[in-house]
Parts: sequence; C-alpha cells; structure tokens
Amino acid sequence: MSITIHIKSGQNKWDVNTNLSDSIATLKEEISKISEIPATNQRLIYSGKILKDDQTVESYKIEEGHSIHLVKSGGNVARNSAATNTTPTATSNENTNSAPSVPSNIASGQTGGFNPLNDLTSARYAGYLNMPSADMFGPDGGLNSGPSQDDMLRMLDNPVFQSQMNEMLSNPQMIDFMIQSNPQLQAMGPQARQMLQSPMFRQMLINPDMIRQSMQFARMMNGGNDPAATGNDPSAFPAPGEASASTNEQNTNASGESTTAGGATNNTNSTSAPAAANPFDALFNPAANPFGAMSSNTNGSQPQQPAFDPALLASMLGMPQSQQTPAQQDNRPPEERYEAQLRQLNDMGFFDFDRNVAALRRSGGSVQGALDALLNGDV
Amino acid sequence: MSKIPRSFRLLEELEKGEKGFGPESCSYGLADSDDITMTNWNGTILGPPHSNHENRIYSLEIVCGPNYPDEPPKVKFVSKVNLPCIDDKTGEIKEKEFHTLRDWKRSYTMQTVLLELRKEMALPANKKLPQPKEGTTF
Repeated sequence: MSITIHIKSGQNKWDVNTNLSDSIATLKEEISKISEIPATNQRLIYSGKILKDDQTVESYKIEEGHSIHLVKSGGNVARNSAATNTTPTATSNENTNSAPSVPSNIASGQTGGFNPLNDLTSARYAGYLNMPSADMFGPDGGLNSGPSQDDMLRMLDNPVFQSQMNEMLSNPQMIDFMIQSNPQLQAMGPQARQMLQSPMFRQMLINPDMIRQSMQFARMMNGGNDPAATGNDPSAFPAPGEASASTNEQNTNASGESTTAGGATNNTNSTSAPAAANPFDALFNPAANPFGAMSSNTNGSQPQQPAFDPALLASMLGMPQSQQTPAQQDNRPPEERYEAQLRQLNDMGFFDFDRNVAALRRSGGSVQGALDALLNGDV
Repeated sequence: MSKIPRSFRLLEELEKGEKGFGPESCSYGLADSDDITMTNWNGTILGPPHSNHENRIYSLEIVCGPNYPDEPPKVKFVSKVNLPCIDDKTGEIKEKEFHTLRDWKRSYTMQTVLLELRKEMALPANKKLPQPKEGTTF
C-alpha cells in the first residue's frame, strides 16, 4: 500500500510517497532524490525514535499524512553550511551543493558591489570595533525611532567611533556608496562628492561640539521644551535654511496639531513644512549655509550659529530617519497590535499564544522572524 | 474549566507528535503503539546549534504514569549526556534540579519537557560541557 508522508528538515518540507513494506533505507533513497541529501547523511526521526535502515516503514507504524523529521548527520555537511560564507574558495562550491538553502554569499548583489558592512565581519575590525549596543535601538529594534540625540552624542564622543567615521569618510568607495544610497545626494551630482570629500564637511559631521551646539539650537526652536521630556521627536527640528522664516509659523502649527492629534508624538515639521525636512535645503541657501559660512567667514569673526541637522548625519549613515516615520509609541496590547500576525501563526498551527507573542515581539512583528524563533524553540 | 482527562490529553499529544506539529527540534511518540494505557513514550531532542550538542540526536524514555498530567512524567535519557540535572549513572533527570519537573504545571506537556531540556543544553553554563561520544547509551 502506498502512503504519502511529510519530511521536515529545518525550513524545508517535502512530501514523499512510499510503500508500507519499503525499508527505511529505500525511503532514504527516495528522500535523497528530492532533498539532494545523500541517504548516508540522513537521519530520520519519527515519534521520538531514530529510524533504522533495516526496518520497514510499516514496523514503525508510520501512517498517511504523518511527519518525519530529517536531520542531516555528522560533520561534513553541517560544518560546510555553518562555515562563514565569506571565503570564496573551494568550499563555496560544496556549500551550494550540499546546502542549497544557504546562499553562498549573503552580501551579494544588493549594493552594487560595495557594501561597507561587509567589513564588519572581517578580521580588520576584530577587537577594535565597538558595536553599538542593541538597546541603542530601543525595544523595537530601531523600527520606529532612530537613536536619540544623547545616544548620538555619546557615540560621537567616543574616540574610536570618531576615528572610524574619519576613516570611513576618507574612503572614496564609502563616499560612492553614500551618494548611491541617498537620492538627495544623487540628485546633486558631482557636487555631492566634492562636498563629502571636503575635510571641513567631515569635521562638521563628526565634531561632537558642533552637534551639541546645534542640538541646543534645536531645543531652543522647539520653544524651550526638552524634546525628550515632551515626547517630541528628538530630531524634529527644521533645517536651518528654513528656520528663521518659518519658526513662528511652525510653532503655531505644532501647538494646533498637538491638540488635534490628542498629544500624539507628532513631529512638527514632517507635516507642516515638508520642505524643511530636507536637510540639504541648507546647502542651497547661502545665508545659513555652513559652506557659505566657511567660504565667507574664514576671517574668524564670531562663531556662527551652527547650521547642522542631526537628521543629516542620520541620513548619511543610513540610520532610520525618524522624520519620515514619526515615532508613535505603541501601547496597544499584543493581541491587538499583532492581530494579523497572530492569526497567520494560528493558521500555520502555532496555537501557543504566549510563545507566539514572545516570538513576534522578538522579531519586531515579522511573521517570518517569529516562525524562525518558534521553530528553533528559542521562545 | 474542567480538567482534560489523561487519555484525551495523551491522545492529543500523540497526534501532535505523529503529525509533526510543534517545533522541529524535538519529537516524541508512543514506544509501543498498541499500548492503550499510553504510558511508555520515546522522545528525541535534536542538540541545539552552537553548542557541544550540535548535530546530535538524544533519545529519551518518557513514562507518563496514571496521574499524568497532574504529576510530571518520569524522564530518562537513553543516549549518554553530560548535564548537571541528569544523573550521570542512570540518565534519569533529577527532578529537584530541573525546574520544569520540580515546578510542574498541568498545562505542561512532554514537548515542554523536551524543549526545556534542550534549552538546558544550550545554556551558556552547559553548552560547552564535554560530552560523551555520540551513540553511547546509559
């Protein structure tokens, strides 16, 4: 009699037809045809038992629709797939053959050949790179809000980080990458490169004092309120070019809004003055332009009001820019917040509410991520 | 809420085990499928990655007594394993040292036990413990 059984291995699932009288060895041959895992490397587990080659399917009482877990055995296969895929040597061939689910080069293709993050895994930075701690991004993993001003300052005060920024910005490849990844910079054409390469600009970008000053300036413009205290988005302050003209208008707008929005954390300029959200406006407005200041003001008169927007730095570094996605504290209970995802998980047969919620929390609401966590038993 | 009787509970767990619901990392089923009392079970745990248990399969025996699930099952490792909560002579789990059995709740299942044991293996304190050769049994 022929039955269909499910073979599960990690993310993969196959259906296999087999006869009750077949031996397990025959079944493994069958599985090797679709899974490309050689029969000798297969270990099959059913109902808490490791299936032995010389037994038959029937002897284990395997029935139609039942599931068998497939575990790839032993050293070679597993070690290949676990090996770092950064070495494009002979092993990468084996990798693609033996473990088709693992891309041979994870970093390929996305950034046109240069990905600055590649270096993070290289020995070049071993022991010297101070990765920011995970809680810098907040409980949601940085989905909604970028690092706060204070975090940013703390980071910039760190000499290691400074020297890294310096190194990064003096790397022409990095500059290419930044221009490529930022449409605003792309639009500027060759000017952008010139600007980014200027030591003055670099100084401005990474000098903590300058940024601190500009943050004070930002607080001032927010009507003297500490943005952190009022729940206003910390990086929500208008670009300097727009500032003097529209401050009043924005302030009134902001107060009007906060009443209509019920005190939600609406940032002032994302809605009222979209133009102000463009950090590069400043660059075209010579009056408040830092470069204007640099060229016209080298005779060293009084220090100018620092014209710098932390959002500029954030966007340069590809950090999540909170101006475009106003941070909104999500205080809804998990069953409401993850309603759709929970339903999906339920449909897939995960009924444990607490585990589902824990997994979703961990993955920031991604069903795929939650599935991984659930399947790995991490939650 | 009324209590689910032992047999219903075990039938439910049996189906879950056979159909392969639940996580990949463990598996369980009746040792003898003709056993209508559903007392003796087999379980396997797939060793957690990034530990000395990686790629190993551990076999266990689970005995669900007549008072299951009010009382925890008796769990014993068949494959040799080195863990603080496991008796290193017999492979039995020391109930007092394994929190899932010590603080047993009716809502726990065999799957809970297996997954918790797997977590135990993956604990930073335990994951690098030297392990006996694979395939050896108690």
